[in-house]
Amino acid sequence: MRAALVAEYRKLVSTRIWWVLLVVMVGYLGLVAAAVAASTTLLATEGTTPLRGEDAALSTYSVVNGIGYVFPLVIGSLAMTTEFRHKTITQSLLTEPDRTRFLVAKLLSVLPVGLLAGVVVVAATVAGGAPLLAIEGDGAMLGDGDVVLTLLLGVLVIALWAVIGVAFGSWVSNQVAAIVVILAFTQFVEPIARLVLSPGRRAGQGGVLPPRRRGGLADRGELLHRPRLRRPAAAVGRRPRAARVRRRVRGRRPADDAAARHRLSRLSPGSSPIRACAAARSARSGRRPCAAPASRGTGSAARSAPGWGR
Amino acid sequence: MTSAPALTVEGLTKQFGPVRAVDDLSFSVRPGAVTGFLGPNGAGKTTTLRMLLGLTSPTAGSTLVGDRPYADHPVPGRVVGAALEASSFHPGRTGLAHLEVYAPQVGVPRSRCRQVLEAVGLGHAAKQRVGKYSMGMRQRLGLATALLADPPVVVLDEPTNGLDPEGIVWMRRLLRQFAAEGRTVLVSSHLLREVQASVDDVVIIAQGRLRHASSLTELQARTTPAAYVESPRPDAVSALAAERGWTVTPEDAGLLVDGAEAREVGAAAHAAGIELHQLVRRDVDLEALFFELTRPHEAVAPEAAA
Ligand SMILES: Nc1ncnc2c1ncn2[C@@H]1O[C@H](COP(=O)(O)OP(=O)(O)OP(=O)(O)O)[C@@H](O)[C@H]1O
Ligand SMILES: [Mg+2]
Repeated sequence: MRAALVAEYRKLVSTRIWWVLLVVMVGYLGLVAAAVAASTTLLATEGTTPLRGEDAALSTYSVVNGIGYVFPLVIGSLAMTTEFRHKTITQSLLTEPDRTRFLVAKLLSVLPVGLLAGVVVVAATVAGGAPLLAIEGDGAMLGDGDVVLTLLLGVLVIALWAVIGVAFGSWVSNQVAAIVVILAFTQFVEPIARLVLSPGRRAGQGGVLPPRRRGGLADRGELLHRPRLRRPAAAVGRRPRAARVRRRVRGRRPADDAAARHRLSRLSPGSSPIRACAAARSARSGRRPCAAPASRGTGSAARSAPGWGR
Repeated sequence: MTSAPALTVEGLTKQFGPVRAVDDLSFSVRPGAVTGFLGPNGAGKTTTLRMLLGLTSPTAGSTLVGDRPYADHPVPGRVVGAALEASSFHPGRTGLAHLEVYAPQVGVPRSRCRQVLEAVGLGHAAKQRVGKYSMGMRQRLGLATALLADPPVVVLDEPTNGLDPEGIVWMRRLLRQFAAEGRTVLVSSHLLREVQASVDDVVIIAQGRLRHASSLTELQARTTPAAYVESPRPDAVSALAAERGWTVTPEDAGLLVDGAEAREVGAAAHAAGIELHQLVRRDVDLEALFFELTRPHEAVAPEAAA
């Protein structure tokens, strides 16, 4: 098993793709973290209660879980699909005829790179978000227990997504198909589904698509401290903010949340999935820390969450 | 390397949907010799080798490396070194990195990778990405991978594909050397001529079925010289042939003389004062014999019969 692990590890690090993706990931998440920090500290305007203190920090740092996971997912799936694409699977199975051992070694071999990805991306997120939080907001909160827990879990989540990527790659072994499915799901389907299913946060809806899929592990952290997090002010400030974003996107006033939701759910693919995503992102970023819905932890939403490394 | 394992293929069959790629194939490969595994394109050579190496599961039959199937050896990569089709490398890896990836599982240190790369003449390209390798270089890298653990059994699928003439001679010498060292060597090719100079035994298949298995010497014994002649006095030619013990069959406007080389027929006719208008070599050489052996069987039409 050790030999198989070493072999798989060498396969991964002897190509360039993993560090190219790491560099892109660091740049991207650093920027997004800065943008979220900016939106929580600089853009809070009349009528809303801006996110404060720990909430603002958590909202900023959790972009790792919210959007960063696509990178380890791609790294992991490439580790497997590249064997099929370049037919190296033949040589791999010649040297390791035990398919199970091959798969297990492949799954585990991405952990070091996954953990490294987790560490650098969390560092990048902090580097991107902390300065604004510290200067314009209530502080970077890096000494805060919840924040530290979120960051550490973020590292772990990223590493686990790399493992899930390998599993996904062995299921969808065509490299192009695997990447297309991952990008389509993470960039379009999931954000839209989240937008459509989550705003009302009524009991039962979370069961269709568990809310906060990727933020899950961090949310567990939040759940531990739910009483503090579910501050009425933040919760109140959230809904109008999301609605406002949607209004801007649609360019006219929705009669109410439900109507807007209805229309968004029927967006034709040609018209504006991108805008819908943008709306989803803004809505998400503003809302994250106060995410714990009333139903959370009491019913189906919490129960439907297990399994995905959350 | 006192006793390298033999390879055994027993009643092997592989069905791909409607295609019977390998059909009840049995043969064995002995140590200390180079065995040529021959057949035209699509004959089922690669499929057979893949089953032998546990990469494809047979529909029926079995394969053995020594006393057990390939995958049942504790470290199969140490027993059999194989190179199947030369395109399976990650283009982004260097030649050296490619070998280093597979080194741990066959239990050799990194230094061995360098060494084997030098041995196949790729020392200069060790740090070059495989994507930039030529076909012949890939072929050599495949061979280097097979030889990583210095295995007693070597299985190579079309190893001379893409090699220059110098490379082909080099490969021949290498194969001879392996056999002399007592290893079991199985080499596939779709050209008998290409391996003629390096093999001891031949296994010839076509359409997934065994057509011939013997030593090369035995196969060569089945070749015969022949000549085609046209003469205004065919009766005189026939008489002459009968006198010399050659057989004659009419063909087109002339005669086919079996058992004699063209120059012998020419000399005899000249001595007997027989006028010849044409004299053509028609030897059944190895190549012709190979064609004969691998010729597709008449397509019996079972669906017409049914
Ligand atoms: N994975 C597969 N699925 C379906 N058919 C296959 C598969 N692999 C091989 N075949 C079929 O099996 C037959 C034998 O193929 P194989 O590759 O073994 O021939 P070969 O003797 O190696 O030919 P070549 O000299 O061209 O390499 C062919 O008809 C081929 O189309
Ligand atoms: Mg072949």
